Parts: sequence; structure tokens; C-alpha cells
Amino acid sequence: MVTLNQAAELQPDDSHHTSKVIVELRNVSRRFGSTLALDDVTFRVPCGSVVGLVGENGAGKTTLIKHVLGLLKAQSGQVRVFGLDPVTDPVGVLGRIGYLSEEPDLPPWMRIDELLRYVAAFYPTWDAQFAEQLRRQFELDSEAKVKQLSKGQRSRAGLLIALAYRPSLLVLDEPSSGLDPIVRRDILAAIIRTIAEEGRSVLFSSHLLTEVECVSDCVAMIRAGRILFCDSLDQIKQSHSRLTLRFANALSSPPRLTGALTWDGGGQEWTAVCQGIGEHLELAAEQIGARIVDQTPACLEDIFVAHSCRSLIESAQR
Amino acid sequence: MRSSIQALVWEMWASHRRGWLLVLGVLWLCATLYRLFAALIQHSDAIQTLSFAPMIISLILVMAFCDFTDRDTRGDMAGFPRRLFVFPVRTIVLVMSPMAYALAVLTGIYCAWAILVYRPLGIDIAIGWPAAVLATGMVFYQAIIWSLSGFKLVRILVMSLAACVLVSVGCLPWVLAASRSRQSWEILLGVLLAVMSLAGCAAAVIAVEMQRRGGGRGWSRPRTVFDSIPHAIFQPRRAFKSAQQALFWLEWRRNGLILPFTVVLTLALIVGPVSRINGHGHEETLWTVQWLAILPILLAVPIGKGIAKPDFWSLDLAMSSFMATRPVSDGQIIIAKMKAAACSTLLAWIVLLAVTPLWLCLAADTRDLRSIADNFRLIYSPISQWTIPILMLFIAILLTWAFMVNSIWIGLSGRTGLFYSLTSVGMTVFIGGLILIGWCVDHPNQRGNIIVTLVPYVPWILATLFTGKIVAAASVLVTVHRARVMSGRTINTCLCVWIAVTSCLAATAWLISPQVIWLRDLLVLALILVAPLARLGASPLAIAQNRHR
Repeated sequence: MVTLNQAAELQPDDSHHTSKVIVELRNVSRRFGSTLALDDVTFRVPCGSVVGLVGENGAGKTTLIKHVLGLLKAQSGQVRVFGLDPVTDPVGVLGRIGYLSEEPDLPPWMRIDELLRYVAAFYPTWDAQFAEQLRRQFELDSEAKVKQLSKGQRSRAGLLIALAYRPSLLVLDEPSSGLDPIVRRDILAAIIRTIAEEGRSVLFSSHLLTEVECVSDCVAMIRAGRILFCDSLDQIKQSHSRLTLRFANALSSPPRLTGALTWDGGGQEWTAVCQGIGEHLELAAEQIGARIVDQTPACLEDIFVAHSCRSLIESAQR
Repeated sequence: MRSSIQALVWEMWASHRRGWLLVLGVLWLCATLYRLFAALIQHSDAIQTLSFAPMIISLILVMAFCDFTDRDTRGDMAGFPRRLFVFPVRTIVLVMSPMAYALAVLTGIYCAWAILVYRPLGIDIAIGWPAAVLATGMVFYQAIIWSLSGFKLVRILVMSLAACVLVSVGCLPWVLAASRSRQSWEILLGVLLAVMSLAGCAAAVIAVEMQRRGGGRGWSRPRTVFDSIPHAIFQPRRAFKSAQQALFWLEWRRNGLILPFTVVLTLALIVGPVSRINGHGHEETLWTVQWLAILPILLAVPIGKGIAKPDFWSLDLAMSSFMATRPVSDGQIIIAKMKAAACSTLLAWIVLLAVTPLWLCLAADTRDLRSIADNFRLIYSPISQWTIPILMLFIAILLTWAFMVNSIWIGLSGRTGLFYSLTSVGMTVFIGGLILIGWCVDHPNQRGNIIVTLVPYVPWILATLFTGKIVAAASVLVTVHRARVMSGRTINTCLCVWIAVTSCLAATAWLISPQVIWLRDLLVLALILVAPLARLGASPLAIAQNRHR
């Protein structure tokens, strides 16, 4: 598995967009009381890419995103967005970011038309026609108050004001949690449209791994404040596989196999999600007296669960 | 828990555990302290009056702890906890359990104060009748807060009206004592209070039952009409020209009318009825005018605490991500708040200045006021006669605005503990000041001695405060400039405004002060301290702290 830094070095030189980094966190740490929310995190979002951030609840996804927005100040390390510090230059950074959170805390008393007029004042690039088009597409009544909207409508309103000024970077923090498939589709469409527009980038966190798989170029997995891996989706899938092993004799406990993250099964047949290249795994299986009877590529969900379980086991052993 | 009633009562206790301990702690502390200083309290009317302040505060706290509401930030309302609607409990039980608990606690705490704190001092305050009035007040309070969830302003209005009615009914046995004995009036009016309480209970049960059936917001028609009023007043007619304009609109829309509205409400519900009861004699007129002159300033003190917070109605001081992620500088947010506070202050004074002359012309006896005006004309030159009132009005407006924005530096910092601690300290100092004034009023001989003793220190105290103010302001402004929270140009503009305002204040002090030069200088120094500088300068730093935690 290559780290993000290595991944960044692997970017093709002929692509202008991907060689330019929009978001860069360097050795960022953040503590809330005794809890280490971010632990020496180094992370980059290349220009023109869609980076999906996955992790369990409380892993540090929102904390990381808040550092990108400048809502949290790094206790150590450095955060740069468009080459600027979001804390010292919020105007320069936030003017180019569209942000949507899980529960967009829009002022409940505002009407949609007031909300649009209000937000438009902050962005010179606000596209009133596009905003109106989105409002109609999202079926938002311009006279409705925010407090009268359903959760899905509220998310749509939040998405509208995040998109209407065509931001260079779209940051979505669990945008589709608890939403119906139609709203989720709108959000995915927004991401796709943003990608389609040249030079724009997306950083989004989600629990819905199928969505992440659907739109991401890169995936970063975060756990207990540390980036476990961050790579292109293809690379991640190529380096993980689901193996079914058959042993000559029944085993009472999971076997030890280099690269295996999690085990399932019992007796003579065991299934593992493994990290590593196929040939190496075959060799490793032979060494423990097993035969690979089935090998399929692991989906992102398998990989996520395997890494989470692995980390849990490791932390329990420590 | 053995029963649902027990569970509900436990919830009311447990959700404010520390608060209840505080109330009981204050009760115990006062019982101890008042016994220690019994002689002092018994011999001073003013201190005796002020000794009731902790009891009143603790009763207000009890009412606040017993409101039993859940805040729905999404729906922007606070009402009866809807989460309880799914429990298999009848609505009457859901409503009556917290009501009965609140009644028992409120009357119990009042009786404890009367019996344990005041009776040992020989202050025999009535128990039965005030307890009955308080109990009715509690029923009304809960009934209103549950029935009118979602109607913030209407709720305040109805609550104020209910409080006025209850206070009036509460005073009736004393007012009507001439025609029949107080006790017989208390019995008669007690029946009225019981009927009112039952009506309140019934209204609460019906309202909560409606809410439980999903029709609680069935006030949709009046609500739509009511909601459309602020929209009609504040709706931006066209696109905002700048972010600054949009920020100002938001601030004005949220907080702009609170002070003017409160001034109108106070005039209509308190000053009007009280002056009507007291009559419109020349002494009463003077007394009312004195109160009117400081009304917006007094109201600005609590309202300023609310305006200082990111959201007036919320106890949470954290800035919403909606505001925090707008691409504006911290200084711009502060300037918008200050501008809105200035407009609000001006509007409040315009209302007051429109109503007061009207009342003076139509109903009041202005003999005393005219005599003061005549004396004023004798003392001051024709130019000063015009300049001084204008400058005094300016000072009053400035003071009102200063109180409106004085707490921004701490309210916007997001430090909840610090904000509420400083607010409590401020209240304590305020009450302490009142006690000192009360003591001085009661002891005219010692008052003279105290003034003579203190006068030599006053110049030093003022000079120290002035030096401290300048040093603090300089260090804050340098930090603001270094942190690039505000541009150098904005800082220079703010400094120019401060110098202009301070010059006006110094000129006023110069004009109104007596011919004794040292006294004049002291007055100038004292008035220079009025215009805030360091605290306003620290505001952008505070908001930066809240925004980038």
C-alpha cells in the first residue's frame, strides 16, 4: 500500500490539474482534552480530483474537514488550502469553497429567497441563473422558511447555496446521511457536475461506501485520528482481495497469514480479506499448508470493514 | 422507577441537579449570613429591602428550572418535550406531573425563605397569599410556554401581560384593605386564583393534547400572519450590494427591534400603569421622567448580554457553521453587530423621545420640571442651554449603545463558562452598588464622612482606570493589527470615531461642570472612561477564537 505522499509523487506529470495540490495538511495534530482527534495527519487533495474520506463514527473525518475550512486551528502541523492558511485568511479560502454538512445549520427563520439573497452577497461569482435553476430542480419553494423544510429539503437548500457560486473546492461532510435515495442522487449528481467542470475538486466524507466507490478518484481511510491508507480507488482494489483457503486439517482458530486483515469461517475452510499482491499471497498460503480455492477482488466495504476490524484487534492487543 | 409520575419528577430534578443545589445553597448561605448581620439588616430599610433580592433571584431560578421544555433548534421553537408523546402515559399525567412538581417546589422554596431566613430576623412576611400568587404564576408560566411554543415574541408579550395581571391581583388585598379586612379579601381573591389556575391547567392539557395529536401547530393561520409581519418589515427588496450590507441585514433582522420593542413594552405595561396608579402630580412626573431618562440604558444592560451572543435566544455560544463558513473577515462581523446595535439604540431613543413629550403635554403636571428648566437657564449661558441638553442626550445614547456592545468581546468568544461567570460578577457588583447606595441613603452623617474620605482617592482611581484603559486598548489594537483580524485602515477609522466621541464627552463635561477646576477635570476624566475602546478592540479577536477554535 502506498501512502498519500507516495501517491502524490506517482501523479502523472503531464496532467496539469492533478499535479497541483489544492488542500494540504502536513503533520496536523489536534487534541480535544484527552482525546487525540487527529494524530500527525498528512493529507492532500490534488486539483481536479474527488477524494472520499471514509472512517467510523468518531474517527476524525469531521475534525479533518473542519481544519480544511479553518473552523478548527491545528495545534501542530500546517494546513494550506489554495496555498493559504484558512485560519488567517478565511476570506481568501472560504470564498472558493462550497461546504455542506450533515445537518446544515441554516438560519431557521430565513425564507429560501432571503437565504439566496443573503448568501449571494458574499460571493462575487454567484450565478443567479444557476441558483434559480437548482432551486427549481430541487423543488424548493422560495417562500418557504428553512424551519418548515424536511431534512432532505434542507440538505438540498444547503447544497444549493454551496454550489451556486461554482466553488473551486466542494467539501461535503456526510452529506447523504439519513437522506432518501432521491436526495442522495442529487448530491451525487452535484459531485459529478462539479468534477465535469474543469479544475474543480471535491472532498467528501461518507459512510455510504457504494457512493464513495461510485464517484471517488482517491479514497482515504481514517481511524482514531490517523490516516490508515490513502490511494487511488483502483490501486486500493488491486491491492486487496478476498481469499478462501482450504486446509488439510480443521483449525480451531484463524490461521496466521501474512497480509490477512480479517478472517471468517471455521474448520477446514477459512475466508480472509487480504492486502497484498496475488502471487505473494499464494506463496504465503502454501507456507501455512493451505490451498487457495477462491480469490475475488474485495469491494470497498469489505476493505473498510477489514481495516476497521484489524485496527480494533491491534488496539485490543496493545 | 416505580411509576411514570416518579420518572417525570425525577427527570425534572435530574436535569437541573446543580441548579437545585445552587438554590438550596443560596438559601442556606443567606440564612447563615442574615443571622450574622441581623442588626445591620434590621436597622436599615434599604438593606432590608435589598435582602429580598436573593430570594427573588432564587424564585426566578426555580421558575426557569421548572419550565420543562425541550428546544427544537431545527424548528426554532421550545415547547413541551415531544419525545414524551410516545410513552404510554395519558396526556393529563404528562402535563400535571411537572406542574404539580413545580408548584410544590416553588411554594416550598418560598415558605423556606419566609420561615428559615426572614422569621428569625423578626421580618414577618406573609406566607399563604404570596404562595398562592406564586403558584398561580407557575401554572400560567408553564401553560403559556407549552401552549405557545414557536411564538417567541407573542409568548413574551402574553407572559408579560399575565405577570401584570397577577401582580395587580397580588396587590389587591392591600389596596382594598380599607373596605374589608385583608384576610377576607385574600380568601375571596384566593378563589379567583384557584379558578385561574384551573383554567391554566386545562389550557395546558388541551394544548399539549393537541400537539400530541399532531395538531399542536394548528395555529397555522395566525402563525402565518404573525410570521409575515417581520418578513414584510425586513425583507430585502433587492440584492445586497456587499457582504457587509448582508451581514448588517441579518443582524438587524435578528436583534434590531428587541431594544425598541422592549422600551415600548415597558412603557405600555409598567411605566404607564404605574404612573396612572401614582397619579400625574408634579413630584410623580419628575420621578417618572427620571426613570424614563435612564430606561433604555437600564434595558440595554440585559439585552446587550443577549446581543453579545452569536444567537440572542440560544444559551450556546458556539458560532454556527453557516456563519463561520461565510467568506468574511472577523472584523466585518463585529462591525455589522455594532452598526445594528447603534440603529437599535437610536430607534429606542426615538420611540422614547416621541412618547415622553406627548405624555408631558397631555397628562403630566410639569411644575417641577419647569422649575428645573428655569434654574438651568439661570446657571448656563444661552449657547450652553442648547448645547448641554443635546450633548447629554448624546451621552445617554452613547451609554445605551455601549451597554449593547460592551459584552461582545466575551459573548462572541464562545467561552460559555467565562461569559456566564462575568455576567454573574457584573450582577453581583450591580447589586453591591445598590446596597452601598441604600446604606448611604440611610446614613446621611456617615455618608458625608465617607465622601470626604474617598474624595482624595478619586483622582488617583480615575487616573489609574484611564491609564489602564489606554494601555489595554493599545495592546489589544496592536494584537488585532498583528493578527490581521482588522485592516490598519479600519483600526484608524475606529480610533478616529473614538477620539471624536471622547472629545464630545469631554466638551459636555466641561460645559456642565461647576467652576471648581479640579472637579471639572475629574468629570472630564470620568466621562472619557465611558466610551468603550479596549473591549471593542478585543471583539474581533474573540470572534476569531470562536470561529477558528
